[in-house]
Amino acid sequence: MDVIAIEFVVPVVSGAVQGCVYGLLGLGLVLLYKSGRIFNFAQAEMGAFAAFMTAFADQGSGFLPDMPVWAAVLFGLVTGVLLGLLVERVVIRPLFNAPKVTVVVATAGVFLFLFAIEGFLNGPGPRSATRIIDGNLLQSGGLRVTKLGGVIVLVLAALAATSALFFSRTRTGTAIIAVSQEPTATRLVGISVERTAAFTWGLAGLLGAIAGILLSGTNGVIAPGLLTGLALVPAFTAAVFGGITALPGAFVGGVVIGVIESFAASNIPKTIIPGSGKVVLFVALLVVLLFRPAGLLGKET
Amino acid sequence: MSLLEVDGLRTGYGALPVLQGISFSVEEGETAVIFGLNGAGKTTTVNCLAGLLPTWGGEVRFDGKKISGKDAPGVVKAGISLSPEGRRVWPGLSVLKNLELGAWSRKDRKNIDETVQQVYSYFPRLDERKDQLAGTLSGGEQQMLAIGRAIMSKPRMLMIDEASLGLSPKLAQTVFQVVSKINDDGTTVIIVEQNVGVLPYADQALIMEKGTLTFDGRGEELEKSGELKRTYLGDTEEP
Repeated sequence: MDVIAIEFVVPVVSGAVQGCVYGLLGLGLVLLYKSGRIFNFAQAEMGAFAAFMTAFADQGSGFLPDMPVWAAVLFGLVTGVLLGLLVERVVIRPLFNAPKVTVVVATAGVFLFLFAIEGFLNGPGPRSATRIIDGNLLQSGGLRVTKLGGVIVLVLAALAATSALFFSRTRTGTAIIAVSQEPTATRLVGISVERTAAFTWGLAGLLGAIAGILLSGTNGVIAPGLLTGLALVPAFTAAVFGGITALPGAFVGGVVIGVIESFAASNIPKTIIPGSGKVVLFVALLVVLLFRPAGLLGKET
Repeated sequence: MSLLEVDGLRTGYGALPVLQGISFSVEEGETAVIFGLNGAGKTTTVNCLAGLLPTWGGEVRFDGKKISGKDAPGVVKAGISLSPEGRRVWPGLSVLKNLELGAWSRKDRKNIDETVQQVYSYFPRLDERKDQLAGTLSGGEQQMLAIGRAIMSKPRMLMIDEASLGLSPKLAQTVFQVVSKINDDGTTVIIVEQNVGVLPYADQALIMEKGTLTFDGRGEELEKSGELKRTYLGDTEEP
């Protein structure tokens, strides 16, 4: 490959893969925003918690028996769902009539709590994360896509499509939208608002766990707060970019954000703007919020 | 035995009592209208019957079975539905989706289309607008949709809160006529109203004041009694 192609292709491909990582986390954010107008500050850490459980089970460390990788991943996913259900029951439901800002702050509290629990179980340092699959999908010149990267792209595309169908085609999906638009009427037609919320948070916990396990896998290590620090803001940007209520938007937004970040990081010298990738993300977020607040795929409501 | 029996019902919001223990009953197949000024407790009454508010005291029986203490999904399964104050349609869902959601509690999902067609025959306007988002409908159309949604569950008793609020007198009459048709088709109806134009359709009339019932009688008795004039002091508008 000639130099121009490498300079162009490498950041686009690696950025798109990285962007899918953000999109995966963004999917859970979109789900919770769509269903209850809540931004969940704990989404990344809920995923990290599941990733910790996977790593503990995989490595047979401390309190868990040694499990094969598939069992460890399954254990992590189940933990994620249970964690989502628990958060809904203990934190979100008692705040049903509270202002949304209170609920959002409460999710920040959930983040801090999980952060502390992870520190207690693991210690503050990093632990090597479970990779569900090793090896490279393709490697030529400066371009390298890992198999795990390929899995992430596929999983995100599949999840974005299924969850969009879930909302438009299934009874439960419609019920979740109905609760978000008009909870009183939803009760009146016989839908349990509580059960719907529990389902939503369980699903968000599952999406978070999938994101957390795959993300920490690409990252190599996992540490308390690491995923939140690395990925929560880009995931939020991806969600806003795609239109915060459009589930496929998280996919599109994630890829766009990943490419932008990667281009900036590889083309703006560190001596001019250190950490230019993240800086450009914030600029992009601002531009979207100012000029197209409904996002790329979102509808003005 | 009356279809609905309310016996010493008390409820309120938070620590604030609103209903001071009201008792009335509604006969199967009739239309009962609850009149009263703002703040008299009309909406509180139907919301409590619908299971949106907890019962503090007293008992409600529907078809002889106790329904007080049930939550809203439990009440709609028992056969009572409410078209709530302020319509509360789902603005981001289509008219058809709104109607279909109204049938959520039904077991016979195959017959839902039939009921949708029945709603369209009551309100042809909804048929014309079936793919439109409910949030884009006019106030009158939203009222039709709210009533239509409430009959989607095939209730034995339909409650409508503020059926005519914000509607033109002509549109209000249209809505009353349809409700009267729904009643003729076998559904018992409770309407909360401030508009005395509904009186000709009322078999039974109730007046509420400060959380208590001050009148409970036949519709024609109310017309003769002058109670309405006393309640809505200065309201000389003829129905």
